[in-house]
Amino acid sequence: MPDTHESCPRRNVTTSPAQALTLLNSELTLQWAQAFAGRVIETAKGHPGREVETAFRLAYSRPPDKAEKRMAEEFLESHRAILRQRAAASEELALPPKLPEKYDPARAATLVDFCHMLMNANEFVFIN
Amino acid sequence: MTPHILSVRSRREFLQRAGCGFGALAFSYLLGLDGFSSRAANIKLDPLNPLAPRPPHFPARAKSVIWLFMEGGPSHLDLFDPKPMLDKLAGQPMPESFGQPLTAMGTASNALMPSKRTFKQHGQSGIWVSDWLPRIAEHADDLCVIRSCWADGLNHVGSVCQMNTGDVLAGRPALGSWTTYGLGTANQNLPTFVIMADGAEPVGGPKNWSAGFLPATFEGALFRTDGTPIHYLDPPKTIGQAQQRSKLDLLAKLNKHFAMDKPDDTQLAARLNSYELAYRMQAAAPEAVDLKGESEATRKLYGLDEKETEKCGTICLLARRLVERRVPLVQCYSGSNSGWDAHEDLEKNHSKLCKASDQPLGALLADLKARGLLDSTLVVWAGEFGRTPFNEKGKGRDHNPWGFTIWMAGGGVKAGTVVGETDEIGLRAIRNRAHVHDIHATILHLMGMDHEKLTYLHNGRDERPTINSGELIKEVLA
Repeated sequence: MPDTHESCPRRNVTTSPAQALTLLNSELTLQWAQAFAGRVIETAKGHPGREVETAFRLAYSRPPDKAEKRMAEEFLESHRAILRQRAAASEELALPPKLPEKYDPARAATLVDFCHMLMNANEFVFIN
Repeated sequence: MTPHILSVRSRREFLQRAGCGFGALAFSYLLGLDGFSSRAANIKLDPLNPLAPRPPHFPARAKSVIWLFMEGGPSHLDLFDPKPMLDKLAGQPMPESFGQPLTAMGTASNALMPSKRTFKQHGQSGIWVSDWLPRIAEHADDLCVIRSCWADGLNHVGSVCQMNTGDVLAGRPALGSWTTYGLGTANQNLPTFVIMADGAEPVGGPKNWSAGFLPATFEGALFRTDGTPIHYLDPPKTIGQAQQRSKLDLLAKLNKHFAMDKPDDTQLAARLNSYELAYRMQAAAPEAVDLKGESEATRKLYGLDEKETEKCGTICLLARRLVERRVPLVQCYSGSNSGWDAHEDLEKNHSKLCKASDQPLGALLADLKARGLLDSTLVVWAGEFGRTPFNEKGKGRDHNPWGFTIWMAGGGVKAGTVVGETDEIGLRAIRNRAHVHDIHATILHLMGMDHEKLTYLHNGRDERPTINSGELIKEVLA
């Protein structure tokens, strides 16, 4: 992490693997993603088609464009297959704190991972 | 930054300004001929890959450094710098001619205390080493013992900080950060500057391996020696391997899409690279620190089979593994968190720490040599200061930054030599005095860098690792 005790007019490289690892692998950011996904589900009120758009609006204050929608849908489908396998093997999933009744846990965990990556993405981390 | 431009109001003003400007151009050219301005902006970082290997200023003698940090201040008087005069003056106060140094615990009026250790000359070089360090003594002919070191700080936090960063006040980059800034790294899958400790965190903590005003990429990484070595190397247990790869692929797609209309933004690309490095580290770091592949003989050599030596032995063995993998700078703290700080009972304290570190450090030298790594690896043994010739509380010794011993071995070091000396009672360095900045300049030199030319523009000033001083200790060079 950059040393924030030392003032600096400009840093030409501020990225380090430690930052990436923290944002990617810490329990804390995963918890944020779990809460974030919970809010997305609540806001989209059970309309799965609206969840991607809601997540983009909450994270970036804009709707996703066509390419992003496609990316998201592809991810949600292929990733859910991985999580179904995990669920079938009774492995623990990272879920939102609260889930509506009958909401598929593999689907919810997929949304958590999607939200987690939205928060790791450059658009979220950098101020433009 | 906003360009500072004033409008020109008259022809005379134009000529006056342009004239000075042209003059300055010519002057800077002349300075350049003399080599004065050659140090400005001599390191160009590739923003996409700031760790890419960069050529040294001149051929390096050492490709890696293992810095053995004896934290707390080991007593030079009882390890490497015998003082027979202390036996003669035992129990008496310091002769007046030595003055009254201001010590950390106000002990300068206390009686002089001779060493209880037996010193012997070792190897062909005949270097004096006490009976506390028999394994290191076997390598006497590999050592360059510098008996004339001195530093600025009286207390631990400041002095440990200075040994690492050059300044007793925290905030400057650590030497390990400077070296990676200067040279990049040959191994792009592991951290470039690794810190390991045999106990609690060193005093002052991360300030000692901070990148300071240098880019954060050059900060040191504290390795834990139990379980995973780097924080957050692995995802939480709710995330599987295939799941993690699938997430990272989505992330890469999102980032690429976001960067499509911003082709020149190196920050975005650098961040993408840092995720890839993090992912590669996930694979490379556990392998680097996995000691299972080490033979029983090696484990025994480093003392992993004994409780007293196990901790120090583990970090020394890890240091060898990291150096084999071309990590440029590895620090091993022995007695981390002021272990060597023998205020009350020197015999008890140093017996324990010497026992804990002597076998592993001797093993490290032998192992590096056997693997042909000692020629390209600089090993540095140093505390933040030494200890006083007068006693504290009867059986202990106080801090002594005015004269103390460090040693170096391996890459480019003149083996089997003693450099400098302290006065007759070992209080102050008197000949070939080597300040911390001189030590840093020498380490950088062995790594192929001129400490005056390794600069970084910070707040309008070309900062360098040795601040405003530092001279090469030529006697150390082979």
